[in-house]
Amino acid sequence: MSLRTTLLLGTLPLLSIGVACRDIAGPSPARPPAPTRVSTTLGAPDMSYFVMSDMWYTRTLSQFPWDTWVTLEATGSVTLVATTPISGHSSYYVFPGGPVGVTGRIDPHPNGETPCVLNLSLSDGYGPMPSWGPCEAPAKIDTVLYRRLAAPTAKRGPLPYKHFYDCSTWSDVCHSTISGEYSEIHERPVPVVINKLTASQRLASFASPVPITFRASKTPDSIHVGGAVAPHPMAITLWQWIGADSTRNPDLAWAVCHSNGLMNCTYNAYESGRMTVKAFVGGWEQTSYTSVECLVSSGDSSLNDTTDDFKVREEILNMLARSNADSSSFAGWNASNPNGWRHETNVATWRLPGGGYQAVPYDLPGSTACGTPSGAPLTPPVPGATLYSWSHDHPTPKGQRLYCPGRIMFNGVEVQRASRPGDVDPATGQLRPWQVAAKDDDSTVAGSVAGSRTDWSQVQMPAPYLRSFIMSYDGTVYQLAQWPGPPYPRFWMKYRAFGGSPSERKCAWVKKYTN
Amino acid sequence: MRHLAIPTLLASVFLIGSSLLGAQNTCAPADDNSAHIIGVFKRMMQSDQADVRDSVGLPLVDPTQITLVSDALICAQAGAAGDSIVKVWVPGATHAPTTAPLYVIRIGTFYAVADLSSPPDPQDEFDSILIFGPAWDYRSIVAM
Repeated sequence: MSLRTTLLLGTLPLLSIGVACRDIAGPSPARPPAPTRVSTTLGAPDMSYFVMSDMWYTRTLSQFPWDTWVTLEATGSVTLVATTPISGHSSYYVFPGGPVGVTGRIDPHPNGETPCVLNLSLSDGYGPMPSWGPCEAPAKIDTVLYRRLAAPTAKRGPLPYKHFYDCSTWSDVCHSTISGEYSEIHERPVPVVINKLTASQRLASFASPVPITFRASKTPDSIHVGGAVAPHPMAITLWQWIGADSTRNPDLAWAVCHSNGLMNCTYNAYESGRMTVKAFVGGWEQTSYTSVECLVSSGDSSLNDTTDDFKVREEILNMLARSNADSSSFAGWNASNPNGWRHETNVATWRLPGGGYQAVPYDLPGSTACGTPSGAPLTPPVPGATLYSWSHDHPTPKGQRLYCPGRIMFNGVEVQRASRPGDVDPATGQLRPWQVAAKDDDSTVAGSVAGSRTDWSQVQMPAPYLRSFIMSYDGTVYQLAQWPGPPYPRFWMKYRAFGGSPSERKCAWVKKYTN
Repeated sequence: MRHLAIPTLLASVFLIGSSLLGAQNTCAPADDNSAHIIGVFKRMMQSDQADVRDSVGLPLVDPTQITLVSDALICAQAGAAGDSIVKVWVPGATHAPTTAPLYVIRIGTFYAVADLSSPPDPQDEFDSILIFGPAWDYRSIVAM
């Protein structure tokens, strides 16, 4: 029987390929989720502070755990209220009143506490800091260095110098402000991002421990302030190596690379894994990582593509997580989730026009533990990309039951199978039959095969040649080769994403990173 | 458990059914499909597969005892056994006379029966292989 299926590739002509797991005559009405994943970009938040009009009013600004360059913009004005002078008033008397900007107003009185009044000034525990410009000048945006654990303080300047006989014969209180008025300080850490962590090598066999040097960096590396160049501070807070299979490595990364000033970390890796660096830079703690893995023996170019931390491997491996392979086959049924938790998932791998690959995960509506619907309209992630492989997983361990809606056929009679535990046919009172999963297979057995018969239909000629990767629950990854059909034998490659012999486990694929 | 009643019921249904055989299922020839099925069952006889054998109700047998059946009588019996268990699940089912080939695999004294000529379920990537005991008593369904 033909199990060929069809995918619509954007506006390309129909391309007939086999996809686990059903016939398809046209595009599926159920469109898969958009093949893009939006990652949230976090950063140090902008902050706003209000400095009230009262003289000597103080406001503490943000505190950072490590030195950070910050821009400060101060806006708004407060009103200086000046009483009408009387005869004989001082020639220094500040009159009339009116709005006063953040740089204040000049008080010419030689006895005044400050030559500038109602201005905003900034200081920290180390002393005064730049404060938006000279008195009465238009306020500029200041770029200042916040020192670690030293929150600056913004302070309102005084009222003009008090002097008898300026506005009254019995009082020296001639100036005031209007309560409730304020200036606003907008605080923005200067954006700096940690770069992708680099490694002296991305591929290794791990036959013996491999010293690998990782280097952290940032962009931009420095800042120009007042004509001078100053480095952007960057404090490393963590170096952490996580072996893909375990933490058998006796060297603890943090013990080797503990200094927050050290941008390099050389580490003896015993197995494939991921080095993660965390650094406080640009006002927030940022994370970067890179992985070091083994070449796969077949030399498959997509699996050996180191771009984006072996993203193709990562997405193929991550199908199991998306499939809830670690849940019970009995779990997850309810009215809103009629297929249970465990279900097959897919990954489309695209060859990019400029070289390299992009793996796009798919969770197709209607996927079950027995298969995924096909006919999904696949849109290239970038113009000119061509579909390289279409992968799916087998998340059900051998010997476990498969609960899926649908039917079993025998001699043309349809038998509704159990779609959930305890699924009873109301007409007969009998439990509906279920299937039990067999082992995906093992190449050590003569005559054995990998994957299901349907899986082979998708690589059977004359279908357009699409590689097919099957991620099995036990960590085996099968790559089915193009098959001319009977009587020719089937060929497949077998990889180990996890598990297997000790030497195989040294080359386990690194799991998807989430922070 | 209601499933336990099936073998007994099946046996009686099968005896009736076998006497009424008209058109009979035939034996599918050795090909890639049979190699696939046999390969999976041979894998199932390895030492690390005891849990699978338990789940599907198969005994441990020597892999050399896993062979494709070409005996027309046995294939006809396999078809009748399959029809019988289907009638247990779908009491009103009527089977049109058929000579459709079945893949019948002998596993020691047990049998595995696959009808790969019926249209597949569009939502299922796996073939459903019926497992029967020595007396054609239904045991389980293997997905492969």
